Amino acid sequence: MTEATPIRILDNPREPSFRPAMDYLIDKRAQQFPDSDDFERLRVQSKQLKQAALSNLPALLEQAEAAMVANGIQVHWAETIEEAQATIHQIMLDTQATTMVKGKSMVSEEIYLNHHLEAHGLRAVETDMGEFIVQLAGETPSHIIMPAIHKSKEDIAALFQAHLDVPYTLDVDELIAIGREQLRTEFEQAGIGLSGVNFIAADTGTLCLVENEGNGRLSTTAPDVHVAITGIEKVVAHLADVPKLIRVLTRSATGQPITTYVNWIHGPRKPEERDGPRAVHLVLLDNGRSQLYQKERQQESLQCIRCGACMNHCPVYTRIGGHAYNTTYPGPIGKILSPHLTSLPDTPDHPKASTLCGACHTVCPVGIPITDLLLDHRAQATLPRREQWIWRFWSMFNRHPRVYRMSLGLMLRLYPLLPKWLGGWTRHRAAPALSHQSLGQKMAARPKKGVQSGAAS
Amino acid sequence: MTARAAILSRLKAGVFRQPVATQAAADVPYPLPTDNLRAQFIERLSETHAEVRSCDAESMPQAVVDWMTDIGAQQQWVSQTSALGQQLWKRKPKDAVWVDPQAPMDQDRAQVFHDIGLAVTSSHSALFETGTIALIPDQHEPRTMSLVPPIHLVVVHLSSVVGRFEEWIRRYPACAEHTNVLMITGPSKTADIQQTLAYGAHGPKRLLVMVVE
Repeated sequence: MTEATPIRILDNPREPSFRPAMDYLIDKRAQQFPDSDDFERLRVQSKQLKQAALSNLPALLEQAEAAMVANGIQVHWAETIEEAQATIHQIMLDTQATTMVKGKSMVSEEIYLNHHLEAHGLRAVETDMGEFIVQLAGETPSHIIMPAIHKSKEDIAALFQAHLDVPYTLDVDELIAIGREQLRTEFEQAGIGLSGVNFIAADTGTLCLVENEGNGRLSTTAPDVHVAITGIEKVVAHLADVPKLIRVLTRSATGQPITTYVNWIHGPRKPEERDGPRAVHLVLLDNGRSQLYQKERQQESLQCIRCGACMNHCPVYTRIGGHAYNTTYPGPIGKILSPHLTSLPDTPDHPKASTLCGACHTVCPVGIPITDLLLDHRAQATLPRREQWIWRFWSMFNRHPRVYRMSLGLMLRLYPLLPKWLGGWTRHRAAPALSHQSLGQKMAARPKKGVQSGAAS
Repeated sequence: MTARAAILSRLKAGVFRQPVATQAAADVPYPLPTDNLRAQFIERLSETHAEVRSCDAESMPQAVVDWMTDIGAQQQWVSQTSALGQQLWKRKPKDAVWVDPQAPMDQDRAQVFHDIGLAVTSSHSALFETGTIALIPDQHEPRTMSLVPPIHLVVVHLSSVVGRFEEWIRRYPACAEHTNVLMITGPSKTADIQQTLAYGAHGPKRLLVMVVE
């Protein structure tokens, strides 16, 4: 795909403000990290664990594969989203299942799995409550942790009424009960289940999944076949590393000290066991990650453990919402990750859509310098010719004080001649009024004062 | 070239910046409280929205059966082969309907998903810090037991409580030999609708914990 995807501001009055939702998540996270020194210590620890794993990534992938195969897990590698789609499609055909129940998986979103299966006459049912809501609405998740965060209770009540033939209710417990009943029938019948993976431990071949609802457990327990899919960057060296990373993951994501379920999967059921899938597959997706791995600095975005804290703390995300980014992964991490994932369209606007306030870097539990990486993207971007000239002039003016002062004086004098209509800006606002004096002139006109009062003003 | 070979060769051609050589932050020790562990552990469990009762080892089987009777679920899953299950079956009230889970996903799934009101399981150990209960399901207590019925009653021995997750994994490295290991903290929940917390999303709506001293 070569068509560029712009940031798309949604003008939907029904889309509620993200501010309260983000404040809720920010507050819950803050309660879990009351001591900033303690957070810094945990963050250094997590960052080092992830960096140590990444610096040894090819060997760890081979070690993990050997451990998983020894445990009876079938490992598949996919370079592209087409390969991943085809692999899962084939497993589904071999299983003779027509419906797949899905636990939450952003990588499955990344490969457009539901769309692919549906195009081949197969059903994929999202079972995470948020994902289920988003699927009913024919949308995509607007947040990697809270997929339906853009929907109000009223939206969901209307959606359920329209699609599930249930009475309109605004009682959240009732709405959840409706979802539960609806999806129980799916779990009862499904022959294949899919899940994501939060961490793979290379030494033991463990697939680790964290979740709150139990749909992840059901998707990996009830059907006869379990397919897990994840990116190649999710491997860590030791099972003993996983609790340390979970400590920062769930606290950063939802402000929970731990999720309801931490599920460790080591393979298909053994002959004597009475439940669990009879076959477990793991699809390891590349989709640009190995190229990203070769890029100095940018490679640090592979440290991401997908907690979503950077979204929650981002003033731009809070203002425009996840759908505006038009990429699978929205928000600050999405801006530095999406350009490298080959399935995604070019996103030239994304690095610019940041105030560089640094909140994302401050809260990142694995210390990804998101703002620095955004600046790198900006530096590497090829600007349109006109913009290049503008910046060249800007730079020239700023390097030559005399030219600067002269043109500034000229500007101030000629300003009234400028048109009152300034494109999109003046459609809803008045044109900005320019001061009659430059800052330099104002400063010069000031009576001389002591240093102290000058600094305080 | 296979996808595997292509991916690995690209990774081997790259160099990930070596981790900064600063001292890796060591785990802060997390000792268990020395006075009144039971009361404090029960408090942690209650914070997770679990319902808690406690008893001593001797009265445990009867205390569990009494709790089951108080709940009064129509059909209940009790293993006939697990150590805990065998103790309970000896005390089964005459009119209670108890069922051994058998192979839960290979039989009438409608019954499993809709008729069983409660399941009782034992536990492997627990984490004090987060009020988490570790389960290692096996052929005697299959994993569906702690997942599908709307109420899960689990027996936890106070002597199995560990400080926190990091220590737990150091103490039980052999957990990796089991097909499935579960850490459970409170009942199933979701806040996916307008950040409103609701219990019983897909797993048990209620988690009952019998703490045995």
